[in-house]
Amino acid sequence: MIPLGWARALGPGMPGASTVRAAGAAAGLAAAALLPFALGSYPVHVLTVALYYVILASSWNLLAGYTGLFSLAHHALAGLGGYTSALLVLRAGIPVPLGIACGGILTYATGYAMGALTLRMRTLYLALATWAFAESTRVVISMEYGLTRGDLGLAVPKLLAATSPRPYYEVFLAAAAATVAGLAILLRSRIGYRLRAIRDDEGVARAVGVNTVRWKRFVFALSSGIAGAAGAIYGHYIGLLSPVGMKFDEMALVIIMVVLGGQRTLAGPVLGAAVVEVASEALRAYGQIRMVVFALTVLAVMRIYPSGLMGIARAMARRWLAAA
Amino acid sequence: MDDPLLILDGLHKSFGGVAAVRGVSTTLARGEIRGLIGPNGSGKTTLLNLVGGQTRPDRGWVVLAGRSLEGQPPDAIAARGVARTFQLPRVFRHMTVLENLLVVVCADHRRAGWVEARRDAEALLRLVHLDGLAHAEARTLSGGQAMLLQLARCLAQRPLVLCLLDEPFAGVHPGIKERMVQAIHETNRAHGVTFLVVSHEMPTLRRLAGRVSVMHNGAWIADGPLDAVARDPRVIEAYLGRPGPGHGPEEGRAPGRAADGHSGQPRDPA
Ligand SMILES: Nc1ncnc2c1ncn2[C@@H]1O[C@H](COP(=O)(O)OP(=O)(O)OP(=O)(O)O)[C@@H](O)[C@H]1O
Ligand SMILES: [Mg+2]
Repeated sequence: MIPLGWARALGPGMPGASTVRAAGAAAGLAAAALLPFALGSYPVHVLTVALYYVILASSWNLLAGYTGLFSLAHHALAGLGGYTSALLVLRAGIPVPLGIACGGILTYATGYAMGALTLRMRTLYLALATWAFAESTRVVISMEYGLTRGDLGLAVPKLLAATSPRPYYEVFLAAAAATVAGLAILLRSRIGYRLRAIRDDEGVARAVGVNTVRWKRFVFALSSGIAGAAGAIYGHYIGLLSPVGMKFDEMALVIIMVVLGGQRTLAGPVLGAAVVEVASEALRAYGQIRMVVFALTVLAVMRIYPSGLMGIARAMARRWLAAA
Repeated sequence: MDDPLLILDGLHKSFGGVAAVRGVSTTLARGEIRGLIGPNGSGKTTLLNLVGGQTRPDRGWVVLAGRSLEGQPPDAIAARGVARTFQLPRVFRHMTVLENLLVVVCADHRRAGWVEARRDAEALLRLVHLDGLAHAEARTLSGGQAMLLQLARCLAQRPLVLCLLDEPFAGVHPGIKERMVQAIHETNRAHGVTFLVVSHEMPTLRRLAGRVSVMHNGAWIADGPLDAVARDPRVIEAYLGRPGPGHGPEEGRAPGRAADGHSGQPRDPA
């Protein structure tokens, strides 16, 4: 039976299944929080970076997967958030957490504007327009040497006094968990239905009364704001920002994570980010060849299981349940 | 009330050199079921797009319940109570059949609770015989099933004052067609909803619509009870490309096709 109050608050998601899933997620989260105590500082650092990509991949999945707005600016927005926060902290002397908030707000506004400007664009044009925005942002940051120190990189004040990555890991874990939980709630709400309807058929969504203009701007703003805030935290963790980190490779990595993990699932980008980042570290000696390996893996996965690792996991679970 | 629900006043729409709708003026009474017929390419779909807000007129006005729809986007028009189906069925492919109806409750102007919305959606699915497929993804539906889902979605919209149905019976099994006719009648009677139904199926229109309008080359050429319209020489000419007695659209053929030389009573659907 569906508890009525619950159903009313959250919309018509499947509360029975989601309660089980939420319990599983909570257990997983607790385990993840304890994990760094069993690992050395290098693996913890790798996982911290993976958690950063969980946030990027999840927020891009909201935009591109669920809403169908295939933006190629996510990495640039993360970089923009990072530079915004770093420069405000350095030049205006505001506290780091406030800088992170400003990074999120500025990229939220940027995303809103991008959503408004690309409203009528079809997939290919949207991709090109957002890519052009990303490249221009990177070039401007690279050229504004006086402000950003260009390709030399900008030394960024740290968020925490700690030198060990462990506290940063916990910060990123909390941020990633909040992002995924927030998206879960959002997608089960009426807003989630609106976004999915826009993806499937914008014209029909409009014809039944969904204000597609408003929600496309909103989802662009929200996912950009999340990317910007994550980028800001990341900058204050690594301690160095450079336009090199805003190259298209970063965007490709995020796309690979989402597609490999499973688009339009909550767990997909989480899984994809973890697998790709850990594999990327393990294969570091192979340099750029890694991207080729990832790309080929993604092609293979899409050919066999278009729904990604989550699709594989689901199929296996189903087979296992049927056998049991 | 005596004032008409819908007034079309001098509507005109061209695409490049093609005048798809030229100077259409008409009114629909509240609670009326109106049929709209005409050969392929005569501008019927374009007319529905002009009312639904999918297309902007070059000239002319659409007035709904005394207020102009000029410049209003489709979502604002939906909020005023206009719902529609599409000639090629359009559903939310990656949502389940049930979710397709629940989206309607997520429209920006709606405030209804989920629980009642879900109950209404389930009732509508039973009405169009899709309740067994409630949790199937809509992309797995057949063309006819998608057509039914569209109709259910249209009827699920609130407020609902005007339904624009673009060839809702095309490719639908006779038994299901019967249910669609019943659903339209019931919605019309119970809630006073007005329908504008584009169809090539004369026998079905005969049972559904008190009046039928005819379009030809973008123009509104005739209006009235189906039998009277079917005898109108201009209508016969529009359908056959030449005047000829007894070969009007009343035979239940697909219009635009050559006459089969036999005229008589309309064939009734199963
Ligand atoms: N978006 C468009 N761009 C260009 N021309 C169009 C467009 N929409 C319609 N037309 C043209 O307008 C005319 C009327 O088309 P419309 O689709 O309204 O006809 P219809 O009466 O619905 O025909 P059918 O019975 O085949 O559905 C046609 O000549 C068509 O080619
Ligand atoms: Mg048509």
